[in-house]
Amino acid sequence: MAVATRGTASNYLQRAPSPSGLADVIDLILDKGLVIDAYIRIAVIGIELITIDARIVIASVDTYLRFAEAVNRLDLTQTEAAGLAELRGNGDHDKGKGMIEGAKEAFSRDDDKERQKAKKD
Amino acid sequence: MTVVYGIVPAETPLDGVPAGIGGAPVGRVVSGGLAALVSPVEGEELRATRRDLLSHSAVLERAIAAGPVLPLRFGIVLRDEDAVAEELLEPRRDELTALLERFERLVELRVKAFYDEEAVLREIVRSDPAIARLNEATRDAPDAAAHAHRVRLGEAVARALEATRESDSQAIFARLRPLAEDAVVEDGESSLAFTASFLVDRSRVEAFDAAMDELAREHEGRITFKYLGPLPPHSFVSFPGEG
Repeated sequence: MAVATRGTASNYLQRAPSPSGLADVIDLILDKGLVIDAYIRIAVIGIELITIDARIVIASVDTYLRFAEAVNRLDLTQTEAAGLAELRGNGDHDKGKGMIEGAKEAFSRDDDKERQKAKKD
Repeated sequence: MTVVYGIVPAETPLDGVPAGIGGAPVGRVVSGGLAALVSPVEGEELRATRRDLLSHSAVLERAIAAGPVLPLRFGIVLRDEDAVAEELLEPRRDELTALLERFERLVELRVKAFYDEEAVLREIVRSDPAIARLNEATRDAPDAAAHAHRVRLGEAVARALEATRESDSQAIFARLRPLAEDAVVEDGESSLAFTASFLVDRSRVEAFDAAMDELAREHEGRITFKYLGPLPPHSFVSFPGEG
């Protein structure tokens, strides 16, 4: 609990001893770790399903327009702190997230797909 | 078929190691001071399902809590337990033993930094007069009339965001790197401010924790840090001369 009592920053530091979500695990064990040579079978299927859509493309007109909209929506008249608080409580917040949250959402979507698949298995 | 999770020193206890892929119990194949953590799997193929990926990871997390472990990539399957000894442990004994010695006290700590989009966009508009002007010009303009300006605005914002990311990455890396033996910064998804893994001596994990706490306080409101570990050295193990 030392971290939590040392300031409000604890809200911005999520500490975990081990991966809890699929995104973390994919990062770590699908393309990292020791690989043994050709004597050994490596037969993994289903990876494409998980990694597809995980990245977003920055350099396109659509992307630029979404950035422009996100900036247009900012309320710059407020003080920074009040502005953040307001955005957190604001129903439009989800619409505004768009770009940067994109990849995370892609991951959770795939997570869901994968979970449904796991259930069916 | 037998799936292999990782290699540990033969004396490492198996206490508390959770069930492996498909819920099968995890056992050991021991040979010459080394033990492979293994479990039986049915069929000829391994599916990368959420549950099995998490199982693979959970077995390794438990192992690293007990001592050094060389994590294998997900999906390495051999014919049976004899093959694990004959095709993996015996021919690779010297290399595996050397790797276990090298990583004896080292763990991986993984850091991801996520921007708060509104906060960072706000910084960008405030610090760049040209972007502020384009924003003023487009925010209340009808779609058709302002299209070209919006594209220019978005492009300028994307570029500014990239520059911000670059400078934040460098600052975060500069703070953490001295605490680690080795480090790998990843290109990662463009949505992230920073993604990196650090190879850290167990005795310095506490100092790394403190540095993370400081970073989180400094960037409060604009960056959220996700900090994982201690993990097996996934990002750092490889046989000499092999990626």
